[in-house]
Amino acid sequence: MSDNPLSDRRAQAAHLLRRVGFGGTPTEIDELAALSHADAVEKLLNFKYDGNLAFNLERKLRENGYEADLNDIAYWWILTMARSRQPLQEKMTLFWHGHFTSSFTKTKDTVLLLRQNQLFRENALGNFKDLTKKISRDPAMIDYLDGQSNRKGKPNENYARELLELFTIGIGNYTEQDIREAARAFTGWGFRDRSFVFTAAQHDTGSKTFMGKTGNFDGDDIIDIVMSKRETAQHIATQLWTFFVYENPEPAVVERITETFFKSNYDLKALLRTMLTAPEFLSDKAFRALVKSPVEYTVGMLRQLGTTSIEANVARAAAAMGQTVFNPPTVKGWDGGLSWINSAYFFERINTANQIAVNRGQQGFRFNPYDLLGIGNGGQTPDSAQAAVDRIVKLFLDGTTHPDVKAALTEYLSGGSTLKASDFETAASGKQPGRALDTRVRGTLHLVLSTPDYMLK
Amino acid sequence: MITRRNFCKSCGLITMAGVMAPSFLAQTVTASSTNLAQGKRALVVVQMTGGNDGLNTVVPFNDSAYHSARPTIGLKDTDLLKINEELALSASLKGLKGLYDNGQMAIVRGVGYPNPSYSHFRSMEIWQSAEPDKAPDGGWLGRLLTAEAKAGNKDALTKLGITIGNTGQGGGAPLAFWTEKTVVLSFNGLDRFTFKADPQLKTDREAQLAAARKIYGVSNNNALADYVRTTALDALNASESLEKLASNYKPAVTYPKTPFADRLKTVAQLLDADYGTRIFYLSTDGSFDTHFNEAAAHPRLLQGMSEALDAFYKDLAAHNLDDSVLTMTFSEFGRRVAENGSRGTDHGSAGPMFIMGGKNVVKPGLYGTQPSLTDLDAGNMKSSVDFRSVYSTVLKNWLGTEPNPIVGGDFPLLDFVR
Repeated sequence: MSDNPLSDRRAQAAHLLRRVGFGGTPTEIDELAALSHADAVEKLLNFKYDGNLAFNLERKLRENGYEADLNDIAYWWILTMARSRQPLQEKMTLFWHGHFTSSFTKTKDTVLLLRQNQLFRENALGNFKDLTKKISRDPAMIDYLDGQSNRKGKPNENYARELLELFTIGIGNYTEQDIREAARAFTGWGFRDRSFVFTAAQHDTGSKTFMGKTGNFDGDDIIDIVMSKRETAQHIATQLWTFFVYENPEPAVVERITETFFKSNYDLKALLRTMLTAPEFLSDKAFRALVKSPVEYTVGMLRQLGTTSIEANVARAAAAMGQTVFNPPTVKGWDGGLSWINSAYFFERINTANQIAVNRGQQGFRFNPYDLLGIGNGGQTPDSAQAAVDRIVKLFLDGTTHPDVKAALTEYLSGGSTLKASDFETAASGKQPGRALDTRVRGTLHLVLSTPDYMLK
Repeated sequence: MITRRNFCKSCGLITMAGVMAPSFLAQTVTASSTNLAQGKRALVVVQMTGGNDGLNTVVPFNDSAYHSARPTIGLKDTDLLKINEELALSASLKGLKGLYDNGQMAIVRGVGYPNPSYSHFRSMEIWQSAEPDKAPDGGWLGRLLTAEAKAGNKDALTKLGITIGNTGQGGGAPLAFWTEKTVVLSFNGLDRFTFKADPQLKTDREAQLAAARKIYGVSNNNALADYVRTTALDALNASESLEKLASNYKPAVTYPKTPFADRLKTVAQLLDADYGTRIFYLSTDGSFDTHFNEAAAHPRLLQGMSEALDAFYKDLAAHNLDDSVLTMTFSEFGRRVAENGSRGTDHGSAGPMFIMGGKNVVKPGLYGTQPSLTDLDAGNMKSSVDFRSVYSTVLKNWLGTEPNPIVGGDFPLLDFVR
């Protein structure tokens, strides 16, 4: 690629919204494009906590005497992501859910999982050290990694191991003995009636030697020691860079973001600001350099198509693509990247796009393809297949895709005849003889949502 | 630690073979064709994710150290199916015991590798890459498929190996199958494995499919987009040929209603249709990570695996395929000898592997030695057989290929293949 596609302000805004959110609508993109990139980043970072959508689902459910199952809470969260006006809040919540994992398969308690989800939301861009201390007291986490049974004299290493290996400093920076000692420090950290309790009688008050330091440590001490190591800042900053910018950051980038994170005493907003305003974020290398996760792909479609109703099976659709929210496959969360792409997941993705695109009824996924084409909402009706494809490509692919892809879409949409504005208006009426074109309009949307470019962010 | 992503990044542009070829392709894989596609021998690899407690699977019931290390979760006589005076299978493995008694199963004991890792992720990476001493640069089965491709088998990377269901550590395809292109197929069920279009105008599907094929034929110099589009083309091609296969397959037995049994049934179906796949990679249901209350979870996990495999081999036998299919189970590690304070077990080291097949292809019995329960390394058993010996035996004596370039060395062969 000779020219950087991210040199144009509109393309930059669309890119930013794909990364900190789930992709923008034309209005959202225009609003951000009117600001400088730095101001746009600042606007997104300083989001106001969205209390309307992130409401207390648990309380609502209890009032209705209803016991939510996995699909209920997964549906609720995907709706929240699809409707939120603070997409970074949900994007960070999704990141933390894949980082500090807990799964329904193990905990079987949707209330605990919802509370954990709210913890992530409330601390989305707070302080990582605080969040680590809070998650260590989170009942869903304690249940997931067997903290309940981690008792004095009978330590259970599960949480201590993952705290070090996955949640903080990363593999290679501690010993097996450190794990055993850390497990002792967390003894007695449990929960009762869905609330954290510290049971002194079950806590090992003996001396522990952890990462070269000796003392009567408890869990917070362990976390403080781990956070005093620069490797922890590096591990987490690199993970966030990989989530938001591109994989395998250069050593100079790692050094820069580690420095910001470590110096700020683990301030997540400072880290995100450094990352999103880094020149690398708007470099050619960052453009379409990450694979959308199933949730990002699905929620992105729902937002960008302007769906006014969302079918309850949406969480199952994302699950079939490989991502069941509230039920990550392992304590490591989802591998992401190319692991989202295989032939089975490919069919699940494009067949979900098709299911949405062909839904004409009032139930399920409701959207109006002709609104997108600018018909009947004050826009200008396209007067050729090419004009319609240009508009769709602008909406979903920043206008940037290979000319041969546009040609294939145009050829398909035209169906072998020359299209006029009146043909699109007839198709929008839902009556004959516009039915065949209606199928092809929906089919064109399906094809655009099935392009490799749309599967990337 | 290598991840799937930096594996690909190191590939550069996928269309430029010279840039992307990982070093192992050039250096270690010789072009010796095993002609897997023409032969009829298939391998099914079954992954028991989470670290299976080998001591409660193949139980040294006569060893007092076993019972004293496991006062609450140690299996008692009534929980056992004895295979000799020392060892028994867990009673949850009734199906496998049947296979064993019928001369269709070998048990390799004490399998592991030097300096074991107790991390799920690192240890799984080691088993799948067969590279315990360095960051992996591919999967062991990926190397096999790549060698086939280099030997001129044009379907080697699209058809020869299939993973069914999620076998990757974070979902998706497993590291074991990483190849130059990683186009190993995987699917959730044949009915979902097809391009769908507008049901209200059925004639439109062909036009849309033709447009999709054109779109996926366009490269725009983005390695990720190329990865997606080649996966898409492979998926469309595979779906088309699967649709054309007249499937006369009818299961001869009733499989248990579990995802794992469904996956095995799909294997039987693909073998019966002679689709061309020879290497299958599946995982069992649930997690074997039994830190807590193991007695409640572990027997159920074993039973699910055992019943499904039992049905699978009965079905294969009815289709005259049992002597063509070798199945090998593994887990990333065994568990600590002593139970923990929560009636469970923490991460450990060596464990047993099961090898199953038809009576005419498996030499049944016990292989390796049962590790001592008193001569331990930080509470963990010392392995007696390197897993690369088992892989090498399967590669050499079952698939007829040279194991050294695939497992990165010469390991003593075992004798479980006739």
